[in-house]
Amino acid sequence: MIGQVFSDPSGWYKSTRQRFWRMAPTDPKSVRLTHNRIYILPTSRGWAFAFTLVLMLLTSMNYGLSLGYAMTFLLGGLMHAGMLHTYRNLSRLVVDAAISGENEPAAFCGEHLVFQVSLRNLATWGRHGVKLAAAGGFVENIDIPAEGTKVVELRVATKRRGRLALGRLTLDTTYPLGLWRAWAYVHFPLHGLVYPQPETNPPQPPAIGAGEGANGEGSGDDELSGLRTYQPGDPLPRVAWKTAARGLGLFTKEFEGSAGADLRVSWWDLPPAMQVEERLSRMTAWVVLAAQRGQQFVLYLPGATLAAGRGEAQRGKALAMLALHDLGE
Amino acid sequence: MKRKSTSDPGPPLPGPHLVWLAAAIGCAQLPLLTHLPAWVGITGFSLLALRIMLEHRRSPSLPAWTLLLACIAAGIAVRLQYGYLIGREPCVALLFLLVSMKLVEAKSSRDGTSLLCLSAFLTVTQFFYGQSVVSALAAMPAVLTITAAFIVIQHPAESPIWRDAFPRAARMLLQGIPLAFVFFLLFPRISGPLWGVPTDNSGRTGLSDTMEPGWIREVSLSDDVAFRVDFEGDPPPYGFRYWRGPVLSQLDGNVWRSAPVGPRNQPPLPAQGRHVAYTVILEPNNQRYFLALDLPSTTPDDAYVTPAFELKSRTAITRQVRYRQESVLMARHGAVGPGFFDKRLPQTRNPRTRAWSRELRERYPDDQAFTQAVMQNFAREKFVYSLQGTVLGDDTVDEFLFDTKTGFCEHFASAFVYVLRAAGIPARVVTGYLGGEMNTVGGLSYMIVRQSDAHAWAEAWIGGGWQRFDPTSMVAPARLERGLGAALREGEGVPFFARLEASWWRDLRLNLDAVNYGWQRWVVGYNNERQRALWSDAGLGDASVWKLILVLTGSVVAAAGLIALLVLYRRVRVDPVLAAWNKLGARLARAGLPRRPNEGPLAYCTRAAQRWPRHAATLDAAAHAYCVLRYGRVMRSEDDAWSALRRALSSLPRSRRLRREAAHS
Repeated sequence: MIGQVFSDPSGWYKSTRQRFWRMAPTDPKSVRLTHNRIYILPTSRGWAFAFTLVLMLLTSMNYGLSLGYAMTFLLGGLMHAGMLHTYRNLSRLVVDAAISGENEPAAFCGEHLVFQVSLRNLATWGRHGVKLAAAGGFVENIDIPAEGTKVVELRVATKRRGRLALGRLTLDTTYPLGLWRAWAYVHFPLHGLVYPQPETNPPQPPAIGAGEGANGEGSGDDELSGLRTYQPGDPLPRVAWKTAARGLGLFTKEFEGSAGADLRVSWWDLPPAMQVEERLSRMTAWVVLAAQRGQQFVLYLPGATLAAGRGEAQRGKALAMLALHDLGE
Repeated sequence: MKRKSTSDPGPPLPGPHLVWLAAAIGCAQLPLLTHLPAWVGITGFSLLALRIMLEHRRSPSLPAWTLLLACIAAGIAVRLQYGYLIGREPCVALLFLLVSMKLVEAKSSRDGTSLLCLSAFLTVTQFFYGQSVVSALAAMPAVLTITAAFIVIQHPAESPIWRDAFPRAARMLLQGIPLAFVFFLLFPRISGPLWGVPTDNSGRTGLSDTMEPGWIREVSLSDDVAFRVDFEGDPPPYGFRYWRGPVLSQLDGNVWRSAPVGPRNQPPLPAQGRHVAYTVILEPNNQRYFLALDLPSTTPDDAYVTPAFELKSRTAITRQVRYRQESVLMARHGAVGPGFFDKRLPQTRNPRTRAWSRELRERYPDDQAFTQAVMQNFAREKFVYSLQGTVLGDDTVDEFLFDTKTGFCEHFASAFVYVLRAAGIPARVVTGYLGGEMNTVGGLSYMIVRQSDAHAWAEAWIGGGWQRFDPTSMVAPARLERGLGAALREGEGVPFFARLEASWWRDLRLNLDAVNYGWQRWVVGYNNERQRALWSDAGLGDASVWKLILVLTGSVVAAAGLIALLVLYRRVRVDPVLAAWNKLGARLARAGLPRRPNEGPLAYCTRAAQRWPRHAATLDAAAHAYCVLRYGRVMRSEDDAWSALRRALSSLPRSRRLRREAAHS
């Protein structure tokens, strides 16, 4: 440890920095707060109180007030007891991350990502007024009963689509007297996914049938991938009438990726003048709409395609693709 | 964490918090009420009530300029009341008012902080006026409420913390006591003030170096304790309890003053005679006089003896002083002869007295005989000893000797001295206390001397020595024997403690005084001397500074550690079932399969059984046994379940082997 200072100063600096400030997300999913993580310092109120004690002491000294000394020292002892109580309020608290399972939380940009953090109190005393804070949000006045557990929903504000790291958590408390603030850093490798903000009042998404009718067969960006035997229920515009006219029987046209989709959410369906984020925003709105209506949809993005599907899983995949588009992840 | 900028006043103060703050301030102010002018107290408490009322009606708080005006007005009013502003008592009064005003304008959490700190300081200021047991007890509600308010303003109003704020505060204060005790005992005390203590003009009742007509009478109407005495051996009999104070030889109109003498010319102290040794605990009197039995034979530290055998302090006595003193009981001494002022008599007043004195002197040319004749005159002419002295004109002695013939000790003493000086015999007035009451409550034995024991007598230079004469004794011999209450006629307004009749109330008060005496001795009187005595008792009398610092630090660390242990170390009550279950969980966790926080015991063991199929039965048995023990209601099966759980725990291999098995499979 000491030797490292000389042999590997930068490594020593990094490890010390990590140990003191927990800048990197290296904590396991469950962290027990102990004295090597808990810091404690007087609050501004604590400094003011200490200053008052000094004044009281000087007054007692000057006027030889024995009871003044006694009172000053009693309040000094109170401050010391307060320090222990504040420390005790965090000590041996267990912080667990991601209690809701392995899924990472997700939210649309501008909404809050909700991370669940559980605070387990193994001690026989209750914890009060704990504050859990991350860079984007905080929860105050958390009370955890003796030998109890409290699941805290930490709502973190989002400003940009993409993957959002929860970052370093700070647990702090000034309970009971407010003269001391004890705090501890915990840095879990937790992430949330921020979807693009859906456009409000988007135009209707182009239905595949409508697109076909307007632009004619084979137009658009979809490549005709092949024909398959007609099955009852296939939309009539998809029927390969030319083939039927040649007397080869009824076939249904299959397009690349859009097999069986009611809806095509495509980057290339949008006016060329639209900016990237606007496009993503509109596409997000369409995906949401499609999922609401229970429609099957396909998603085309430059460099990525999502095959037709419906339901929550499809929605999630699509939104994740939109969220991470072109972010190099 | 973002740090709060210093200009951020913090969150606003909601109404319930304000009520707590007002309570804390009120508790801090309450003990001061008896010491401050009534209007200060009324104004302070009205302001508190005003703020609570405004809050209750949800009225907007007062504009800042009204408060500025109020502050200025308070300053002016205090200045008018006391006649000066830079002094201890006006400052306390001003602080009292300002704290209340601060509450009226309090808006933010930071205001709450400053209010609580000010209240804490205000609680100390009451000790300026007295440090009795009662004062200490009176400070307790304030300390408790301030602590509780610190807790409460930390939390929103609906927090469960509010319900038990007081028990919490009390517990934490108790936990503060060991450290406070160590500091109280060992924190180095200093002997003098750090900065000049301005003497407050507001006089305490007590002796001084001037005696105006009617002044001693005023003093003796007070029941206040002047000093307490602890005798080494038996106390002297009543008639010898002359406590010598200021000696007044300079007559200035009708006012007696002490002759101006400095600390030079220390007279030789008496060596022979009946020695008495005792310790005096002198209450502060804002004067420079120590008191000692007539005649002092030692001098306390920081004091000197004047040629008139007064014990004078080098500084005004503004705090309680404790000194050991020795005296030689003697009514006659001749070490220092009469000075200039002891003979001087203004020739303008009291013509009848001077004429009478000359006439008497012709009959008694011998000093001793003349003096005895003057003394006898008081008895023969039926003088009356009474507190009801009439207001006298310019020729006070004439009126007293020939018209009213009614007076108090000061009248007798000054008339006596006047007559003697008119006949050419040097004489002077001695003021002090006569008497003292023994308190033997609770195995203690000490003397209480009250202001009501204040007395004036005379000394005359006869035959080469100063001889004590107490003219009062000619009129009211009982004053010498049994105190003021015995000497006065029925119906006189005798101060309570000078009365003779016993009552339960008087007993109670004596009991209280005994408690106070111990308190004064051990708590209030704990100063640098006693601290040094304690150190030398502990064998540290001549220890180096470093050793003392080491002892102090060691004791503080020990006390702090004790409390830390008390607060932080809690033996967790171990439930054997939970312990066994945790042991199992820990073993599996070490083997690489920690329990998820949201996972129930059955699910966890199922998951474990999947990883270690060989132990599936054991794990299943353990989970079911645990469930029965924790959640089951079937009492009969509990014993079975307990043994099943323990069996499962013992048959399950160690974590290292489990990990190996998991790796193999």
